[in-house]
Order: sequence, then structure tokens, then C-alpha cells
Amino acid sequence: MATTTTMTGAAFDQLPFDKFHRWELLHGELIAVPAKTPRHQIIVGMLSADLYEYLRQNGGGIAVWGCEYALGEDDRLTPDVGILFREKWESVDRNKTPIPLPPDIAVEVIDPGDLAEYSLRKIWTYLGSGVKEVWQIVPEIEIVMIYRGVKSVTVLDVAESLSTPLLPGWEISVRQIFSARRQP
Amino acid sequence: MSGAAFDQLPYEEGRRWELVQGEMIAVSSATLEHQGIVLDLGANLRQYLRREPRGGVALDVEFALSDDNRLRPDLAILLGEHWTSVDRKKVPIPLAPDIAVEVQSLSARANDIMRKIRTYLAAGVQEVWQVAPEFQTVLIYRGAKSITVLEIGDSLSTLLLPGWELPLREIFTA
Repeated sequence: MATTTTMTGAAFDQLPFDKFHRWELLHGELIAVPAKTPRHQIIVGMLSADLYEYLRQNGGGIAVWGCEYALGEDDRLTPDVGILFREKWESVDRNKTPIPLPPDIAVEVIDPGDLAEYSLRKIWTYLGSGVKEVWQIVPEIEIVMIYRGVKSVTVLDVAESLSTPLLPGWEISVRQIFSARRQP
Repeated sequence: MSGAAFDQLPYEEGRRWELVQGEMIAVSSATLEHQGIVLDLGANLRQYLRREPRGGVALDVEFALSDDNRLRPDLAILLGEHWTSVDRKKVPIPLAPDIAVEVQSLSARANDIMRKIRTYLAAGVQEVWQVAPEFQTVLIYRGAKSITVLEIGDSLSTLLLPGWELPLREIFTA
């Protein structure tokens, strides 16, 4: 079993920036985030761009990737994409990190190095802190899972589209998510 | 490799392997907590199936789910004809269990778990129970689109085992 390091959110915030590793803090436990695969980053980039553009056009908020959120005293998570609706986005200091509130939607793309236990706990942590929807994207088996609450999971396969009442009019086919830049 | 080639591999003492879609996956050694949960849950199911002779429960037995899949669920439940028809002296078992239970270890990769669950369901397993001890949660998969999440205040039960029920609290205090 892996050894665990525990600390408070305040202590985590003081850690020096570490060039080769990314860390998250989950219930006070320090978690190393594995380096991302190209496929992961392509999906994140494509989805971020699509959501960013949608939110820019309708003034509904922002989609940002790679930002850290302070979700509670002992939780510092960095979703692959975080969506903040206008009200939240207008209230945050854009020059500060971590963002001191939960995103409205958190998107996590599962990588080969991700551990099952942490993936689950992260979803629950997001939902527990007030995130309205967590989208878990699983390239390995080409599905998207939407968590709208601890008890509400929707599974989408490549024949379906990802959409949400939270983003009226926005839609992307699951196939498109997974076929992004498949060919050079 | 193919399932047939996998079946010919020598037994290897230090490691356990599974074959998922032709890919060898190393299975880590289990922790005391993991084995405690498996044993308690298995014993509870076995007691029920003795009272209600609908089938049997197998602990850590390999199933040949298709040409290139050989999986070893922590617990497997075979019902009715599946149970009565199977040769108990042979491994791998050449059919899919009705229920497969996987107790998640801390080192399990999210991808491996999801591929296994998908493989079980595609092979005809009616329910997969994913038990996550660290988070005291059980996820029940009843098909690619149906996931039920149980938390510590809930009880685990299924239409496949009428009258059987086990509070999650009992599973996780094992």
C-alpha cells in the first residue's frame, strides 16, 4: 500500500511549486497526480475550448483548465476543466490561486495512471462541496459519466451526446470527444 | 495473448494475473482489510444460499468469459443451472457468473476496474458489485447504463437474491 502524507489545506497552500509533480490534497491526504497522456490533454483542450467559446458567447461564465480549487479545509483539487457560472466568476480574484470556492461543473478525464479509489473520492468531494455536476470522462472505454449527486449517475456512450440543463443549448457528441485528433 | 495461451501459463506463486481483452493485468496482493470484507461477505452469501438453495458462491475463482478474457472476481455467485451445471473440479469456469463482486484495492487503476466491469456485463453477468472500502461505498452495475450507488446508511440487496440483505455498515466494519 502507498504511504500517505497528511496535512492541512493551509500548509498545502504554502508548499513550494514543484515543477515535475502536481499534487492534490484530498481530505488532508497528499496525492501525486500522474503526468498526463497526450490523449488526455487533447480531450481536455478540445472540451475546454468548446465550453470556453460557448460561455464567452452567451456571457454565462468561464471554463478554465488546470486551476486549483480550495473546496474545504483539507481539500485542494485541480479538475481537468472547471466551469464557473457568471456570478461565481465575477466574484473570484483572477490573480489568485487556489480559487476559494467550488466550480459549478468539474470535469475529470481518467488517465491510465489514475487510481480507482481516488477517482471515486474526488467525485464525492466535489459533490459534497457544492459542485453541481461532475463529468467523469473515461477514454479507455469511451464513456462519459455524469454525477449530479452522490446517488445520481448517468452513463453516456459514443452514440449519445453530452449536454446539461446547466448549459442550455450546449451539446457535444460523445463520439466527438473521443475522436478528437485521433488522426494526425 | 489469447485465452487459450493464458490457460497454459504455469502457475506463478508470487503474482496473480487476469486477462482482459487479451491484455495481461497484474493483480496486487490483497490486504487484510480486503480479505476481511471478501470473507465476511462471502460467508454471509453462502449462508443465505444454503438456506435458499438457488445457487452457490465462489471465492477467487477464474472465469473464462470469452476468448480473450479470464477474470477472477473476489466473489462470484452462480445461480440455478449455472451452479448445477458447472464442473466443480475444473478451472477456468467456462461461463459468466450471475453476480461478480470486486472489492477495490487501493492500488487498483480506475481504467482496469472500468474495463473489468464492462467485460463482466458484456459477458452476461447480471450484476457487478464494486465495493470501495476506503470510501465505504458500493456501486451496483446492472448493465452498461445502470449504476446504483449505496452509502454507509444503505443496505445491499438484489432481486437476484430474494430476501437477502446486508447493511453496508456490516460490510465495512468487517
